[in-house]
Amino acid sequence: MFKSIAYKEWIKIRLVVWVALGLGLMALINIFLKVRHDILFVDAANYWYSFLFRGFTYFGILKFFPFVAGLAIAIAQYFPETVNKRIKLTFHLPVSENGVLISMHLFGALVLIGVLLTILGLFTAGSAIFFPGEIIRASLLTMMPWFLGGLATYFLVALILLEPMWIFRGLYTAVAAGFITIFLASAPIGSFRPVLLPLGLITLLLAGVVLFSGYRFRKGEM
Amino acid sequence: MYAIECRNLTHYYGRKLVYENLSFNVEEGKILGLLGKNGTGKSTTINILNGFLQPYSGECLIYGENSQLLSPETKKRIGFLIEGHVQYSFMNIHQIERFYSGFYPDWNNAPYWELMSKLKVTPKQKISTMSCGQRSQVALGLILAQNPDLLILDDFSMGLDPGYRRLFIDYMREYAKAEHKTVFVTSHIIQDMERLIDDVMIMDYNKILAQQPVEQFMNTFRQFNITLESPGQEVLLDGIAVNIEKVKDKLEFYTYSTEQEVKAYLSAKGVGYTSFEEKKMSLEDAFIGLTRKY
Amino acid sequence: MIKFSRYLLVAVGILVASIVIPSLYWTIFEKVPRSPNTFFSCVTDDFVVVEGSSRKSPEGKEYTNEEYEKILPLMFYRQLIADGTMPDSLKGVKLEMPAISRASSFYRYTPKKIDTPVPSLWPMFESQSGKVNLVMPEDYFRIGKRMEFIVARTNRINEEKSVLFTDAMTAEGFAFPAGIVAGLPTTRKSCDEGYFVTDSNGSLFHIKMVKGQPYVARIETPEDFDIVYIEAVDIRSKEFYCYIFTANQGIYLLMDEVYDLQRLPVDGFNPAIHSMRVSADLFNKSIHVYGENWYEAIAVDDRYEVVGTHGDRWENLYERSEGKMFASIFPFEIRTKDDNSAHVRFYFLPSPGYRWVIVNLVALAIAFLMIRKRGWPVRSNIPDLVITGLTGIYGLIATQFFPNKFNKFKPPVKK
Repeated sequence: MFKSIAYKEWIKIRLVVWVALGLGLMALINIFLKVRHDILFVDAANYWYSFLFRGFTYFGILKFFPFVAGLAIAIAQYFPETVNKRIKLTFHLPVSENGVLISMHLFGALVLIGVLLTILGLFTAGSAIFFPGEIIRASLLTMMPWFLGGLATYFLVALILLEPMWIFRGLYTAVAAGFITIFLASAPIGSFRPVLLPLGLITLLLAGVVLFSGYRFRKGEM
Repeated sequence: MYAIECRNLTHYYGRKLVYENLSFNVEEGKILGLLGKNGTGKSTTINILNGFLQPYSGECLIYGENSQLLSPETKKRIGFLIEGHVQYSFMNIHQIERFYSGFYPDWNNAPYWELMSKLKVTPKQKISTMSCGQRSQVALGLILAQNPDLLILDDFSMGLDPGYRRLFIDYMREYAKAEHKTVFVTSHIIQDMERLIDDVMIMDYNKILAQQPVEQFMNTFRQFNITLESPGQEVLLDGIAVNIEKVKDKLEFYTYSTEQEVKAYLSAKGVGYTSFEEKKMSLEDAFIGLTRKY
Repeated sequence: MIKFSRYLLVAVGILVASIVIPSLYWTIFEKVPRSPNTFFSCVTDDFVVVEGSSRKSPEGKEYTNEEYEKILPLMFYRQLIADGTMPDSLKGVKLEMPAISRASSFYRYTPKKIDTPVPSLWPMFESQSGKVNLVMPEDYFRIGKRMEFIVARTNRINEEKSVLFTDAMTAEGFAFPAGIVAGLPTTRKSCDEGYFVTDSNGSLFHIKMVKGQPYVARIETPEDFDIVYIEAVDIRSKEFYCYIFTANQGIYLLMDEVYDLQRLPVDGFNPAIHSMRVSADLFNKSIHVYGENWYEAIAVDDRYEVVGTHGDRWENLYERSEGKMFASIFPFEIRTKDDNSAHVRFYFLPSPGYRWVIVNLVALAIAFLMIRKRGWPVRSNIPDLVITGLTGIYGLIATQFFPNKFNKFKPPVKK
């Protein structure tokens, strides 16, 4: 059953997933080519210095990658379900309505997490060539809110797309925009550390809110 | 034994009443047509039946289960054709067959492929690029492969050209009768419908106008064409008259009564006429006669 | 589960509303607060209070611009020299340019400095290279289980140097790993004095590199000397190495060469919320301690004896009109950033007083009327009403954005 659901979801999102992975890889290649180039030109010690004491981040172009990936996968996955209220077909499958939605959502989230972890993993591996653990840890710490934000974006966009009424889509979008902005606020390296746990917890809980839109749909809001 | 039992359905959109205390049953093995003009609540009923709408009050039972809380086992027994033959059109015919087959243990793809072989589509063609008629065949084929006991077909004729419509109807009738399936079908196009349905339910705003076997309805609902002596003569819509359409001195008189009863009714009202004849009606004529033209 | 989803969304809505709406409010309504300033005059041996364009003595005597410059000769010496009014000597001390500029220094402490992400790699400069300019080293050190130098070019540890320094530290009794590491990791300083480091026991050490060799010195500190923050400074007078802030609200200077600790005559300094400014000249140091809406200025002479104090307070945010208005509309606000921290957190700021109760009651009434108007049962909406009653405008917005559709619509009453 989950296999069939995963199969359908994969058909919807596979193109977007490959494009996202491709863009992420291109960003990584860009980052490390630039690091290599700059280290040659300004000397590694100075390059480290600008990170440690000047707040220079060599991975800035990754900032909006998780947001865009989350947004794109959510749209690719849920927009086709809203066209002609196609989600009716999904709810009619011989599975519990919440179960089918959770399965779809779980699959999409796992794929997104897979994409994000792939990029993070390659980033860490690439960074390990040039930088010590301290710089890598601080970098990952700095990127963590962006990546959590990507996940939150996925969850909230799913909620917005499946909501049957336009007015509420608008209202949800306002709240989602305000919430996602928190993750993407510009702040010094590593300064998000105290807030990562609450943000992570809220993001985790947001995984389930798509059920709210699903419920509203099934109760016939329109 | 009933496949569908709806009891005292009442629903509102906002504060607008759709219908009140609507009750009907669908017997197993029967084909019931729910006919009505647009906006009379056909889709509302379908949505309630499929659990996409919670009625304000009342309930529908499908095989004894509340339609709001259908178990996966019961959903397995229901084939659902969405208005406009909506399907996962981002898939091609192979993908969609593979997708659905994972949900139904008794999946039988032979009738599906039989229908698909007649379509002039390429194996990798997405459903979204197919014509409406082709899409209807895909949707139908999937339902046949699912082999459900109850088929709910929402406005299946919409967008179909006459050939496809006739094909669909004939195929469905033969299949349903051969396999003892129950069919609940809605339509706002009445043409050809008498070829398909056993029982008819005609819906008007806020109420049901007729609910009976289609044969009985066709035999008892009559149209008399009457030419009045004076065009100024007013004929009130009461008593045995179900509907009266009057153009100058020509009167179309719709009723469930016999010729004698109508004549007696007219003379009691003092209505003089120069001609009086019964007109044979198709189901479509009868539908319009019952629900009025406007 | 689904009901929980809704309450979660309502909670997120309240969070966002209580961040965005107040921030908008302050952007529109916040006014510049008073910011009086004082300088200690070596001529009058008293403070000069500066606010806007007014310059006064603490007693209220107004100074003209010329008088003002004259009583602060060490601040305005270039102007006074240009005017030809610079005194040759004061208090028996010759006023010479090099001496004046050597003695003047400025230091500023803000609570942000102890609540900020700190780097854990530092460059160790050669402090006696014999050259005038400092050179950026090719490696950075960390002090974990031992002291390690990582060469940036190869991203590998310089084992030899690491062992050398670790052994020298162990010999002085350093207990790994390090706590606070404080130094000036820049080549733009007059000379290098290495790092002041606390070990895992809280003991203080001075570590630097002299001609390629480690210099490690244990610094004697009093008992219960619990250091919370050290900041190394590079002052031209070379009077002291660094400022040390302790948990028991003391501020100390670590004097050059001798490692004596000189306590500044400041009491009740809380490094988490108080700021400090120290400006030094040839004769005095004036120490300004700032709270949210007050300051206390203490002037000391060169023996750190108090020679004058002055203070002032002004209306804090919630005492000003825009703050009062805020506190009577909003029950609280949440900020993600705070003036006293470089970290991002959810800072919950309850509004002082209870004037917001009225607006909360109005919000509650609106919520109630909307429930009635939609014909929803009040009973199943009690949680929404409680949320609105507690969080006011935010809760009203959030519960309307994510409406409670778990109750049935009540049809119009039939005639």
